[in-house]
Amino acid sequence: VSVQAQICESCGALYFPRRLRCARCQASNFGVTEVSDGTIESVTTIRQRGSNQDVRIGLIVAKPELRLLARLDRKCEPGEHVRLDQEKSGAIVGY
Amino acid sequence: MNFERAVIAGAIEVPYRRKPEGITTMALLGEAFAALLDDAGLSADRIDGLAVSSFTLKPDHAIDVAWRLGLSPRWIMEDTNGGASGINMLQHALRAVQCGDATAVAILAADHVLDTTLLDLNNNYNTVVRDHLAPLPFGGPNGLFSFVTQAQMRRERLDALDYARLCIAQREWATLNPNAVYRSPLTVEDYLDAPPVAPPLGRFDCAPNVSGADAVLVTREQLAPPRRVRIRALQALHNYDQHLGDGLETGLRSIADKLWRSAGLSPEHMDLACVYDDYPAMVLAQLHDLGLIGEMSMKAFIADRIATRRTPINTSGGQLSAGQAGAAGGMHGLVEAVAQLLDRGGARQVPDARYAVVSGYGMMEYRYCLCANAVVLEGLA
Repeated sequence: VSVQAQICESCGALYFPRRLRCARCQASNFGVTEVSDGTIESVTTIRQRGSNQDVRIGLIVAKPELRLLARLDRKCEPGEHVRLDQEKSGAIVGY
Repeated sequence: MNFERAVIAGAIEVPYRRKPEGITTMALLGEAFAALLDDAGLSADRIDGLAVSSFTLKPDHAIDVAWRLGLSPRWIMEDTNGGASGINMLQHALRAVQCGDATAVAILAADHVLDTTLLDLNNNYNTVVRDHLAPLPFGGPNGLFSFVTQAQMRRERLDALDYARLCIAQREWATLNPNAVYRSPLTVEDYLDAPPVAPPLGRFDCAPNVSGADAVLVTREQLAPPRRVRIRALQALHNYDQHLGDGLETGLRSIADKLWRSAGLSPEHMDLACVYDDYPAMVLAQLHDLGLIGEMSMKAFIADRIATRRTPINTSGGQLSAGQAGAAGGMHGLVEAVAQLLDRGGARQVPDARYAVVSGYGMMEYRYCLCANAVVLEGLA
């Protein structure tokens, strides 16, 4: 139950989505690090085209330098702490 | 290197329309080309360079456009940079003409985007969007720019009324533009009561999707009509922050000093500004990065300069009122600025307009857009 982020083996910078080279030090060797939670910075509600179903999405600060976009499957507000998971679809979910 | 010997010899817009039937992107490019030749008074056989930008041209490419138009270009390019494509193509075309690879380059952009096409375009914009945002689902760029707007509201202490003022001012310009798709005056109540799209963004914070085309002609100085537009400076910087920031700045922030220095002008000299307006927050971000807001707060600039229209900004009504024709939106501000500098602004003409700055911004990645560029123009009578 977590999100797999990329960690630069040279300088430790974290990335999601994946990069080919580190944006900070240009190294190209990365490992995988598990990110399991974060704090909600902002929330919005999207009305899907052709559907009446609203979707809540949030901008999540998972680490100071790692912001993730997640679907929020419960009503939550900025400042709240959420656990994070990644679905098979690729979507990150906060709950 | 300056831009001598190459000028903008013409600029046109094929009027934007909402959901037209019986039309194709290729046909819009053809209309744009014909109008551009008319505008510059050149025959098609003088065109030896072609640049094209479109999201909906596939499976065709620029060369297929050349074939349909009956052109044999010595220089050809296709641009994929959306809201930054117009100035990017201009940058390349100017150098091609200066260096002699071409003498007259037609820069064309068009899109005919249906609602069904739009969803597909948004969800397959690039692999990051396809793999990580579309599955959320994310609601297209509206969702991303809701977050950028919220961050700007917090940092600049802005509220809904500030964004309303910006949108209302652009609508006031649009009431003077017969080709804008939204022309009726917008009130604060209209703005605040509009259906939510991705709060705080409502309907009037999002550019209406339209079909249309824009075109610019770049030629050697000798081929251009007496009334032409000269490039004083052009700068670009893409992926400037490696997508590690909050999206509140653009690459323009890093290039503004060099832009003004090489233009030999400053923001105070500008008679108008056309900045890429996919969302009101990005209008403010670009004006700030370009130095037009200066020492004022964003809030004060909105109240004193934008709402009063004392600083003419997005005088066509911008995409927020005139419409967003896909990749042609990347040329909309450029075409408007050229029209103003050639005294062809009609009822919305800025008196004695001589200098304009135009900026491009586009190509969403994970949280905001990557591309930015700007050009300083001078009208020559």
